Amino acid sequence: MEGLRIRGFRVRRGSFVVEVDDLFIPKGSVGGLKGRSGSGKSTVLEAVAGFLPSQGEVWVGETRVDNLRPEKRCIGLVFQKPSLFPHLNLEDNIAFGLRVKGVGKIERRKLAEKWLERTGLSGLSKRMPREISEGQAQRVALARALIVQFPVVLLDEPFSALDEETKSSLYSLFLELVAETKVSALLVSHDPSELEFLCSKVWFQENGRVTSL
Amino acid sequence: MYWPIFFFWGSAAFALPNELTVYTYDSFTGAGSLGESLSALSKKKTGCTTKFVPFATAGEALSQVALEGPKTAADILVGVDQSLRARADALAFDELPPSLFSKLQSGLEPKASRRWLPFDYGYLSIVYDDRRKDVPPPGMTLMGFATHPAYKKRLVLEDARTSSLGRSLLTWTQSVFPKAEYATFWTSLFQQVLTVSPGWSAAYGLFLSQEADFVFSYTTSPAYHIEKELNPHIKAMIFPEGNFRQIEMAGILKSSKQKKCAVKWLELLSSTKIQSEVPRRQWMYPARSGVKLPTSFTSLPVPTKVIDAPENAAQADAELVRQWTQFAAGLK
Amino acid sequence: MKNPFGMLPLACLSIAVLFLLFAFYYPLAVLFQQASWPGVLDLVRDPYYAKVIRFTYLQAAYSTLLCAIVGIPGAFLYAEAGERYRRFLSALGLFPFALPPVLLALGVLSVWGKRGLVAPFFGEGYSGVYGWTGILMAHVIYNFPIFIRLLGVSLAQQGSLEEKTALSLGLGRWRCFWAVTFRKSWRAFLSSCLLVFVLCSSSFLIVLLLGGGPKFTSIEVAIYQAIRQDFDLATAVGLGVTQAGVLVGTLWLLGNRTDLGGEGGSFRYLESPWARRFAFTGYSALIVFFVLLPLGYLLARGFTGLATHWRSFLAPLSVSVKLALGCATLSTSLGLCAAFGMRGGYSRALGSIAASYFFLPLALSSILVLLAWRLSYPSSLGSPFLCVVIAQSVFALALNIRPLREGFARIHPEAEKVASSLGAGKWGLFFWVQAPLLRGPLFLAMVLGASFSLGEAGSVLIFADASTKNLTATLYDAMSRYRFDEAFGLGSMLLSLVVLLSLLASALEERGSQWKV
Repeated sequence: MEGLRIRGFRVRRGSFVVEVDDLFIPKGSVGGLKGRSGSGKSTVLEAVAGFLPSQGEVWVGETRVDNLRPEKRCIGLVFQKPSLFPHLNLEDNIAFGLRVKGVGKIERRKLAEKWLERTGLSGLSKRMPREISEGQAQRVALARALIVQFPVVLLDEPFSALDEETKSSLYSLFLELVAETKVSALLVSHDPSELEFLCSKVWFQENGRVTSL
Repeated sequence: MYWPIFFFWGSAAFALPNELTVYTYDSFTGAGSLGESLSALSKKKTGCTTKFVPFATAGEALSQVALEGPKTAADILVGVDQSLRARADALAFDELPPSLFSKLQSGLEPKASRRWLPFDYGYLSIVYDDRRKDVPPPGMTLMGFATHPAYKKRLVLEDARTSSLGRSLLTWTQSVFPKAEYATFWTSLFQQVLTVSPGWSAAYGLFLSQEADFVFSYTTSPAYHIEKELNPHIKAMIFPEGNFRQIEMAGILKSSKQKKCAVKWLELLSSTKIQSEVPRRQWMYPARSGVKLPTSFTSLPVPTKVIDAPENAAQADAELVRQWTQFAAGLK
Repeated sequence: MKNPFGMLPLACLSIAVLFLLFAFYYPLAVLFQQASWPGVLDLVRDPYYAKVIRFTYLQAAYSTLLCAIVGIPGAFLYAEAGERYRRFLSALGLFPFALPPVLLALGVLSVWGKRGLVAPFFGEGYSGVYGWTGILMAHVIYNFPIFIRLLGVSLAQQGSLEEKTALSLGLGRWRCFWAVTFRKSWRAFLSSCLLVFVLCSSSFLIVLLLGGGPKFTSIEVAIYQAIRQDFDLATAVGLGVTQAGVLVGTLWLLGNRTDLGGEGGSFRYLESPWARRFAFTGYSALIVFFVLLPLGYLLARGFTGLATHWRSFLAPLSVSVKLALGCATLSTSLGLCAAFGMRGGYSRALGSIAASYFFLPLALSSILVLLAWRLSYPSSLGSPFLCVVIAQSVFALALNIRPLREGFARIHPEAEKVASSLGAGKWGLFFWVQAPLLRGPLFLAMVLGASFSLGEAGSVLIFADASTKNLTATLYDAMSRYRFDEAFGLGSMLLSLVVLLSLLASALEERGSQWKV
C-alpha cells in the first residue's frame, strides 16, 4: 500500500518513551500529530527519519526502512526553523538533494528555477539565506524537501514561527504541493485549527502514546 | 622502546663512520663562522667529515652530554669556558696529548689536567660609545664605575641565572674583591643597572639601540665596529683591578669511537690557518701564539692586569647566584 | 543516536592523539624518567621555588586581567565594526606568535624605554618602564589581540534576538551588553583568558628584560637556569609538573564547552555616527600608540639592513615560507581531526582531560620540550624539514584546536539532519555542508599555524640543517654575531610577511564571510 506506515513503534530518549501503535498516511495526503509542547512529538519525527534508535516498523510504500541509515530512507524533513544551508544561495539550497543524487548542473538549475517559481520566489535564486525573510526561507525549506520527489515528508511545526498572513498563504501552497507531488506528509503541530485545516487525519500524543481518535 | 624511530628516523646509532659529531653553541656553526672553515678543511686534514650539532648555548650542549651519558653521540664538545669547566670535568672527557698545547700563548697552558684545549679567549669589560655623555675617564676602577652617580641606571648586564657570561662576572668580581667589598660592589652596581638580559645578544642589542649606555661585553667588541662599520667610537674599559679572561675550550669525550680523528680535529682547530681566522669570525683572540692579528685588533688596548679563574676552584654555584639575586632584591 | 559518521570521529581523534603521543608525550616521558623523583619532591618544600611559582602565576593573572580590560573593548568594537576595521584588528592578532620576543621588547623600549619616544614627556628622572609596569605592559601589548581574535569573532556571530528582547524589557544598553551579549560569548572569553594566562605564565625574555633585574624569577627562568646552568633536571621537571598541574586545574575549572553562537550578525550598540567615530578613533589611537609605534620602529630600523642584505635573506625566506605552509597544513589537518572527534558529548572530566592533552605543549616550558626532543630524537637522518614541521605542529595544534572546535559547534545540527535526509552520506555531509561552513575557522587555524611557525626557532635549532634555517633562526644567529643591522632587516622581513599573511587571510575570509552564520 503506498504511503507511510508506522507500526508497533517505540522510541526512547533519556527516561522518556513514546509508542506509536499504528499510523498510516496514504500517498497525496497530510496526517497530523498533535500534542502538548514537550510531549515528544519531535522525538517521534527524528526517530522515524532515522536520527534516533527505535524499535518497530517504518514502511515507506513497500519498503521497510527502519533498519536503514537516515540518508537511505527517502524521507524528507522540514523543521520549525528553516535551517537553510547558510553557505549556499537559494537555488543551491533547493537543489541540494539533487546534487547529492548526482543530477547534472543544468538539469538542477532548471528544476530549482521551476520550484522557485512554484513557491513564489522567482528572481531570488542567487540570494543568500540571510538576505530573505523567515516566510520566504520556510518556502525554500519546503521546496528543498519536496524537489527530490521522496514519497514521504515529515514536518516539525513548520508554520508556527510565522505570522498569520504568511501562514495562510503557505497553507494553501503546502496543500497544492502535496497534491501535486503525491507525497505522504506527517505534520506535527500544537495548533488545533492548523491541523484541522490541513490534515485528513489527526493522531494525538499523550502520556507517551500516539493514538488516533 | 625504539618505535618512534619510524617517525623521526633518527638515532645516534646511525652516525656514519669517519664522521665526527661536534656539540657546540649555535654561532660557532653556520655561514661565516669558524665552524664553517673547520668543516671545509676537516675531510682533508683529519680524514673525517664534521657534523655539528648546534645548541643555543655551550651550557646546553654540555648538559646534553651529561644527560646522554656514555651513549652520547658527541665526539667533541666545543665552547666550554671556565664557568662550565667544573661541571665538564665531572663528565668523562679524555686527557689530550701534550703536543696540542705546545703552541699556546703563555698563561693559557693547563696547570692541572690536560682535558681542555683552549682555542680562543677574550677579556670581559664594560663597553661604551664615546659619543654619548659621561665618558668614563681612563683608569676608572670597577668599584669607581659601580659607585659613580653619573652612571645610575645606564648599564645592561647579563643575568647570572641564564647566561655563562653573567656567571663569569661573578667569578671575576669574586676574585677581584674581598668578601665584604664584593657585597658592596654588587649592591652599588645594581644602582647602575637599567635592566638585565638573559644573554649577551639582547644586552648588546639594548646597548646599540642606545637604551643602555654601558654593556658587559668583551674588550674585543670594538674591533667588530672598527672592521665592519668603520666606527671607532665603541670602546671597552680597561680596569686597574684587572679584566677577566674568558677562555673557550674544546675537549674529546672518552666514549668517542673516533679518537684519532678527533685529536686531528683539535690539531686543526689550533692550527695557524684556523687560528688566524678566529679574530674575524669569533671576535676573540686566538689561543695560539704567533698568530698575526688584524689591525682592528692590534689597535685595541689590552688589559694591564689579567684575571684568570682559579683552575680548580668550584665555579659559581647556585648559592652564589642566589646571593647575587638578593643584592638586586634589596633595591627599589 | 545513530551517528552518520559511525566510528569515524573516534578514528580521527585517535590520529591526533597518537600524533601527540609520538611527537610530544613519549619524548617527555623519556625526559621525566631521567629525573630523580625524590629531588622533584624536595622542590615542594623549598620556599624559594614557592615564591617563584607564586610570582609567575600572580604576574600571569594580572597580565590576563589587564589584557581583558584592554581586549574586551577591542572585541566589542570588532563586533561593531565594518569589514575594513575588522581586518585591521584581526591582523594584530598574529604578531604575538610570529615576532621573536627580543624584537618586540626592543620595539616596546623604543617607545617606552629610558631613551624611548615618550621619555622627553616624563622629564629627566624617567628611566623606562622596567619592573612590574614593564612586564605587564609588554604582556598586554603582546597578548590583548588574542581577545579580539577569539572573543571578538564570537561576539560578532551571536545574533541579536536576545538583545532586542532584553532592551524591550527595559534593560539599559550597558547592562544589556554584560548581561546578554557578553554572557553569550562567555566561553570564548574564558578561552581567551586561558590562552593569555598560559602564554604569560611561560614568558621568559620579557620577564627578564623588562622586569629590570633579578628581583623577579619566573618558573621559565628557573627552569632555564636549572637545565642550562645547574644541570638540575629534578628541579626543572618538578617545575614542569607544576605547570602541567596548573593547566589541568585551570581547564577543569573552566569546563570544556564552546559557545553555541546565534544566527545573523551581532546587535549594534553604537548607533549614532558620532559615538561610533569616537569609539573607533579612540581605540585606534590606543593601538597606534602601544602597538603600531613599536612595530613601526622595528620596520624603520630594519630598513637599512633589508636594503643592504636582502639577497642573503632570500634563502631563509623561502625556508620560512615552506615551513609555515607545512606547519599550517599539518597542524590544521590534525586540529580538524581532533575537533571532529571531540564533537560528541563528553563528561566534564573526559572533556577537560582531552582539552588538557592537546593544550599542554603550549603550557609546558618550551625549554623542557626542546630538551625532551633532543634526548629522544638525537639526530634526524631522515628529513630535518619534516621533523621541524612536526615539532612546530605540536604547538600550533594547541593553538588552533579551540577555533576549530568552536567552528564545529556553530554548524547547526538541524541543517545536518536535513542534508542527511536528502541523501547525503558522511562524505557528502563533510564536503558539502561541514567543510564550507568551517571555512572561517579553517583559515584561522592555517594562519595561526603559519604565524607560529614563522616565529619559531627552537625546534629549528634542534633539527638544524640548511633546509630548516628560517628567518627567525637566522635572526638569532645574526644577533649573536654582532650583526644587528642584519637582524633588524630580518625582523622587518618577518613583520612584512606577517602583514602579508594577515592580508591574505582576511581576503580569503572575506570571500567566505558571505555565508558566515
